[in-house]
Amino acid sequence: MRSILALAVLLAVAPLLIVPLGGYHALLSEMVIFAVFAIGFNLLLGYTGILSFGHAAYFGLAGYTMGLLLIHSDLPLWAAMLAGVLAAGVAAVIIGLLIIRKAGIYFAMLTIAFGQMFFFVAMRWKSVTGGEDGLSDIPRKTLFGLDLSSPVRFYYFTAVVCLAAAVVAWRVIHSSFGDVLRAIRENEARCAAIGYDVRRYKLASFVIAALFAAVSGTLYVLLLRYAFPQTMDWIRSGNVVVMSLVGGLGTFSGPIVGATLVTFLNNYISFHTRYWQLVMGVVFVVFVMFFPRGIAGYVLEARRRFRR
Amino acid sequence: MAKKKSGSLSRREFVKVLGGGVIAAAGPTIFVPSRAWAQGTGPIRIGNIEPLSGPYADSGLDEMEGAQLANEDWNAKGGVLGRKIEMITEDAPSNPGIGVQKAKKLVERDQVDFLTGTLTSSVTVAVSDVAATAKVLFMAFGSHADDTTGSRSHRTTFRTTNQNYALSTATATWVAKNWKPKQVYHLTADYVWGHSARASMNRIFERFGVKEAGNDLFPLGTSDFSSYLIKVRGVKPDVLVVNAYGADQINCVKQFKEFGLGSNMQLCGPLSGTPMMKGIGTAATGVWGLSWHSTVDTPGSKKLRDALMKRYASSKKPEWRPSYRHYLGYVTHQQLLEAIARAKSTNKCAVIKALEGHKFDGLKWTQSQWRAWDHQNVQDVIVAKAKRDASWKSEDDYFEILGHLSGAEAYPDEAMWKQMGGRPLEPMSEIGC
Repeated sequence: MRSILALAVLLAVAPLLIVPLGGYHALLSEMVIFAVFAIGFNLLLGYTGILSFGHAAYFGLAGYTMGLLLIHSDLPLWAAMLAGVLAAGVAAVIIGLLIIRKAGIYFAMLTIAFGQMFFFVAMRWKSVTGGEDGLSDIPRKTLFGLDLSSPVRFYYFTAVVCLAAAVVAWRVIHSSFGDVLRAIRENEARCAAIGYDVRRYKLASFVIAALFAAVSGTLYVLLLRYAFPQTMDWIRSGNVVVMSLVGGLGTFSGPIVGATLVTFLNNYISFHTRYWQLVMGVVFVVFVMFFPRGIAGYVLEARRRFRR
Repeated sequence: MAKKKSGSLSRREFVKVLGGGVIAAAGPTIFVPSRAWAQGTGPIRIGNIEPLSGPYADSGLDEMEGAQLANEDWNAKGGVLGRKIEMITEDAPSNPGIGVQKAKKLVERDQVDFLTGTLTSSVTVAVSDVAATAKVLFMAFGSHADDTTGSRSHRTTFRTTNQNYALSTATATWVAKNWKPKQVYHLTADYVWGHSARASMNRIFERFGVKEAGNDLFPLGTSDFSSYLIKVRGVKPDVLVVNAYGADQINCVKQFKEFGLGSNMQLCGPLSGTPMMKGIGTAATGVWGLSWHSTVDTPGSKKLRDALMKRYASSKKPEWRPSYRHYLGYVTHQQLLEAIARAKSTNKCAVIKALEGHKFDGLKWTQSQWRAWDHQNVQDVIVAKAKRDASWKSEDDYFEILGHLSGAEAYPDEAMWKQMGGRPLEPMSEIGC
């Protein structure tokens, strides 16, 4: 629980730190929003050991659904967000049921295929999604009468959601359900032999990660007040894999560290050089080759050794 | 065990050293506190958004260079209103989401006075919306889509480049008058730009009694046009119209040449430019609409061309010449800074008023004008023939200018603009003026 407290304190003081660090409040919101995505994704990749390259589809689907409802209906913000998350959840259950029996590379390829399907629908269904131009001027409305229009207020809204997401993830990880997920990661065959319905657990993990992605997607669309096809292409799905790896797979704080760091660096380096993607590529390669356990993985190990 | 431990220890030290190094190297730059600037006395800050990576990187760089030259011209004269001009360029590849993030960053963190730039339509309209919400003046360089100053227009947005309607009108008029075709065949990229280009071309063709023999829609990013071109060969139209931009145009024209269709029919299209001709290479053919080319023979354009050559040619290949993207960047910044000087203020309301309806020398033949009711730069449209033969010496020779249509003739009038879904600009009071 100490990590949760530390996270709460960090989230609370972050707006004071970000400006001297060369950032700004909308960037901070973005960092926190991707942390939510990565926290959920870590349950799937880090704890269950399933690699998906298509979770941006749920991120984008939730964002589009919420955006369309906010534009075309009188639903309040919370209801539109909930509807977006539910829509993504339903899609994840259906797609998960179809593909969860596959493993490894076949599974990863199928997630890309389904993810790209959503991307192309958003790109081509011009009359509804606005096609390449996307959905613009999405109203942010108010949350239970609370005005979210200032960047700082909106940040605190995302921070609260992020904290809630971390608490949920913490409960999942430290439950017997979480133990089964880890068992699947370590040895799927043995786990099945003991009598667990491995497929159901994997599906649950897949859907939970999609729900986190969906929450993150609704926040992202609210931040930009704009939904566009690239929210769901495989590059964004790949980004969250990078975030998880840089932060540290299978650690609680890893995805948060990775998501905030990668988002900040992307923004920071792209201002200084037009070859920023190259720099980020090198960072990623260095991490995979030399620090496969990610930042959090090494910090935790160092702490363990220090205590001993 | 002991061995393993010492191994991981040294790795830990390595991490420490590396981490320390990174912090030491990055610290001084990261920990610079955001600068304090006093409004009205410090430099005038312009936030410039360009695709500097991805498929449009070359064009984005050209636009940035053009804008830079205009800034330098003014700074050499002591700036505007006694204030220097500072441009902050952000990279937004053709992804509207990144465009929105960068625009927000420029407005929120850097507190820029104005936004400029952008190339693709999707990024342009996205940034345009952000600027409208933030009530910041945005001068769009690129984006040919009619929507930018039509159904997605904003009081805070001005657009420099020619809109689709004007480019299509000029090209189709020239083709109908000079080639006198009986029937034309369209190959149209299946998205909003392609559709609107075809509709605009046909509007003119109908007026001249030219029939549409057929139209094929192809998806964006098509690399193999053979099935379409075989069909075209069967239909035998007099002219093939290529409503495509970027890589699609390059692939289509190259394969048109490979199929040897050039001996049976002519080829034309509403929009091309140096970036496309670089890709098409020796297969270059057809008559195209252009916004500018390095061989425009007016005194103003010659001067701009010389200035750009002097400033940038040393870092480029010998055959390099300024492109129309340079022109767009230069003219926009020149116009923005001049408007600030006329308004004697950087206040957006005053600058918008100074721009609306303003007539200026757009370095072409007839005067250009920022139209007050849609904020479009109404200007001459160039019609040019693409070529690449043995006489080709430099990028000047990509096009032979055939003529031009004045803005008054090429642009939609207010009734037409409304019919195309034009949205009236917000009243000044709504943007805080």
